Amino acid sequence: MISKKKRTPQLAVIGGGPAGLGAALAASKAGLDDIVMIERDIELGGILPQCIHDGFGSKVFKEVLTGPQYAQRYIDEISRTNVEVLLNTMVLELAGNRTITAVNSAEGMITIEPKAVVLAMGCRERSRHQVFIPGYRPAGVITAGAAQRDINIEGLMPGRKIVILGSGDIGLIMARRFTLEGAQVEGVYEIMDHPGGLPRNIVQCCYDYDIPLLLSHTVTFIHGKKRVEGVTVAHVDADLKAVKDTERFIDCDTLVLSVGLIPENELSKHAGVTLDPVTAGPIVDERMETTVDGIFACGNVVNVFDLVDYVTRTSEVAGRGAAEFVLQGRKREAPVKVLPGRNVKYVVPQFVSDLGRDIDFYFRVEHPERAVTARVLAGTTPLKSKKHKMVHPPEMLTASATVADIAEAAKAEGRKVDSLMVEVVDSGK
Amino acid sequence: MSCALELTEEDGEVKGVTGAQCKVGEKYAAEEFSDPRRVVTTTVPVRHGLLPLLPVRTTTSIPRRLILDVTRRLAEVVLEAPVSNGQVIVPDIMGTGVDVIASRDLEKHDDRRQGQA
Amino acid sequence: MAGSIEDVAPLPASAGVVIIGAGISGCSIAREVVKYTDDVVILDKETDVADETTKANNAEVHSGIGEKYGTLKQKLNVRGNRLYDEFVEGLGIELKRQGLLIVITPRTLPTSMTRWLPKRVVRYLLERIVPRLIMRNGKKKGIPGQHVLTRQEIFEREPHVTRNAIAGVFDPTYGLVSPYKLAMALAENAIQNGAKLFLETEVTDIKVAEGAVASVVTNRGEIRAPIVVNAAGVFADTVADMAGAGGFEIHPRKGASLLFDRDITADYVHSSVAEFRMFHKGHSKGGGAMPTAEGNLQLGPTAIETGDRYDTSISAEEIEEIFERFYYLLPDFPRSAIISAFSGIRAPTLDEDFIIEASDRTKGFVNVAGIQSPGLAAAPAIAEMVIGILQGLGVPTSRREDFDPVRPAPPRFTELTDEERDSLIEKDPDFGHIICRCETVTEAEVVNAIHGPIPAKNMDMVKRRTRVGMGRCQGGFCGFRCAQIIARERGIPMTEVTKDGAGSWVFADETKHMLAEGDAGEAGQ
Repeated sequence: MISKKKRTPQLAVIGGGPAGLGAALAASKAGLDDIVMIERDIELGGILPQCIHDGFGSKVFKEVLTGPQYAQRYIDEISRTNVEVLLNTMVLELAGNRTITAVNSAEGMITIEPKAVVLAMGCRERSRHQVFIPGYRPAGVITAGAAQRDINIEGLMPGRKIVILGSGDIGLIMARRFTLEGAQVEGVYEIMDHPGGLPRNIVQCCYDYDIPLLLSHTVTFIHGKKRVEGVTVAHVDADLKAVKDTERFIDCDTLVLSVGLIPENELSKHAGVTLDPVTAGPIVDERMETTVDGIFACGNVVNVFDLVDYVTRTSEVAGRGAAEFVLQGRKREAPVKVLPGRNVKYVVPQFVSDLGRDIDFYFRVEHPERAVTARVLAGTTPLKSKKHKMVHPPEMLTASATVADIAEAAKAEGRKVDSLMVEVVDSGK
Repeated sequence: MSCALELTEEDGEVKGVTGAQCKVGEKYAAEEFSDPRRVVTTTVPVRHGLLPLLPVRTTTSIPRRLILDVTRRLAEVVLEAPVSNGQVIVPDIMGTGVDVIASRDLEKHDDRRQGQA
Repeated sequence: MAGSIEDVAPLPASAGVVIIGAGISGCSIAREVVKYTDDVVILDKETDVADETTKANNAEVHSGIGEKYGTLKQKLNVRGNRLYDEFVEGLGIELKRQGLLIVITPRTLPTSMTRWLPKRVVRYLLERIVPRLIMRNGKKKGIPGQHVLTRQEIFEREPHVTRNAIAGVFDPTYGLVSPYKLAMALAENAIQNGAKLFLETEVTDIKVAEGAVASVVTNRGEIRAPIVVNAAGVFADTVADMAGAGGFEIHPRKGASLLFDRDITADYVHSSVAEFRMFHKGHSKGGGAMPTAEGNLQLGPTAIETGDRYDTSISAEEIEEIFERFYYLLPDFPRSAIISAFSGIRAPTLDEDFIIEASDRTKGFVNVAGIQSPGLAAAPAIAEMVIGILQGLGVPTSRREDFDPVRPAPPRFTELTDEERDSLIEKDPDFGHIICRCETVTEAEVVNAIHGPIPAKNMDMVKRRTRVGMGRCQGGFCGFRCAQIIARERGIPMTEVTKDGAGSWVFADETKHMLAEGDAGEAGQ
């Protein structure tokens, strides 16, 4: 009979990627000594072990590391703590009272009743049906992240002749990766009229290898009954609708999709955590606490960050927040809403529970713009602002507000600050 | 985070770089023009490891024209687990003066990689 | 006593009954025949049972209301529906009888008719006359339990239905069942009771001697048989012609459906919901919004004539058509909750009715053809009718005492209690290793599917038996793991793992090989 011991740690962290690792370490440093981390894969690191390219850590470590190198730093640190790590363990359920039900081969069904939980489950990739690609459904249609895992972790090539749909960073990175393993990348097709990824990736992944990057194009049909035989691509109009007589056939055996990431919030939903329909992640406050007391969230499960450095920063806020919750308890005050203003698609955190501390904001714009100023407003009073030569949706932006700034604004307006806003305005104004 | 650089040249000689938002930018632009260099990252087969491949990187950038030769050369390397993070896999790859190092620790493991905890 | 399914076993030299086609019809008939004789051989050219039309079936066990009165299919539909609970008993298959809400809207009567009439007359027709017509129609066809619903009652039952709804009729005997799971269970039970199943076995000819069936010739050998049942679906006309027992033509008609995220759509509708449109073009019943047995909402199907019997492509227009059709009925439908689309080929005859009869030209040859919708609903009645025909041809009429109607269903982790799970994990730790996060499927279930009575040999076969890959991530997390387990358990390299049989390889090669052989050139020319 498997012995059924219930675990009652101070903190349970769901997910052992950079978000979970950062939160567990921060909580440990902030005074918690009974932490359990639950990871479904065979090792820690989350998505990082398969991100073998460099570009990670320029903000956190002031070095440019590869994904595995970045992960290794945290994995080494975690091994020096007494955090209990459960690998190959799948969380099946998270209840609103924070009870976790999980399972693994060694112990069977596991019950964990922590005082606080940090959600760090990351995100999943959008699939072909979610972007409505017509045609057949043969073998050979794969998302970029799954292809990356096949090539970099398992040592298998998904195909020989590749078409990539989506010019976000992961699509561009895979264009290079496939090429460096001897496959033939026919082209990267992007439905928008601007590329989704960073300029440096366009240069180092497409231009370097003479891989065509076609904007305002999409795939309109997948051919092949058993295995992909080719795709039809077409130009799209201003409404992103395919223009029929621009269709042409591209011979290939693999279609790689890089068409978006979706925060993985099934567990969060069942626990009663309120989700933001724009980010598809939990609504959080400045300490990354969700609408359910004692449940915190960080990393890509909150919204998709482009830099792992931001994932790490928010995870440390969550870890510290969870430690504070466990050790000191906290009654949250009436929330102050954080609103997305002009040309801002969303802001994280979405509300503030305690105006008595500095706040970091992460946000994205709705559409590209040049020569703008991004600023935070407390009530109607602008606080700090930052000029940007160019802003566009793929690049996440940051802003901050200090306690002093907010207090000043309250004084200027003659009343308590009851709302915050992040907006992007023309620098001329 | 990114900025747009403009470089002017005359007869193949760099005359000026504008638009850089940091010092690195100017050097980068000049280099991109005359001698583009890249950090190369790829994987190397490993025997008896927790995973069949080890991710590796060049410590710094190497001339761009050598990228594919470097990856072909690295495909021929056969490593034995365990490997430690930072371990030199191939020193001075193709005479560039740049080492190729391991990007992570990789433990030894038995065949059943499915991973019981 | 148990029969077998083996890759390389030779075909027996002879059999009492040969059934061509292991779709829902063939499998239903097989399980019925096996109650009387174990000398049954089932042949199918695909790699799996239910691998053509049946796997794309919409899962509807119709009541029979939608079929033309007087047709064989209508009669068998009503009879089949009544027999269904008994039919699935012992198979470990869930039949959900959650009923069908037929909604009457301003679109119910064609504008060519209503534009000549004053508004209140149209209103009266829709509110009072049409429901009564449906009820009367149902009564004539022998449909039990139907009743009329007012507008208010519709909204109480189904709050998401359009406020344009005028009245409705509720059809309680309508149900939903997984078509391929049912076909598989029927086949497994038949095998359990002595039938032999040969997959990847294509019938190439049927030898007839002195006006009677003599043998069936396949790509793997020949079987002598006095009785041959043609349940070959889309290819039923070709097979019938081989035996000189043809005279009908199958004209393929494809249909696509969309599947939605269970989390978002599980309670969107409680019964199936369909809009009633009189004199509407096309031979399909128009489909509906169906809460499938697994909880995912399904919209569809479309109906498009096609010349290619393997054309299961889905066009952008079809996807739009489905959304447009149901957007009217369910205006706030969460379109972005889509996770998958599928398509299949129906096998109707030009007369649009079933052909179930012993051929009068070739003795011993029985056609079970033109089985389009309501083929799934009629399955029990089709089996009943066919066994009657077969017994007229010599199959024993007394039941075997050793027939076992209970098929041992494999355990599904997601359906068990925590105690049951622990007990399984203790015996087999692979029950504690979750492979598919979205559908909560364990490694042990995948292994069992690969070694089951009808072994899963590729990713789609594993998928149909275990649901791995059917969730919201559509194989993103589990795809690789599933392939790995198939390779390991079948002792094949990863490059030989396929999605659904020959030609659908998943991995081209190991990394590094293409680089060695290729001429990738130089970066930055």
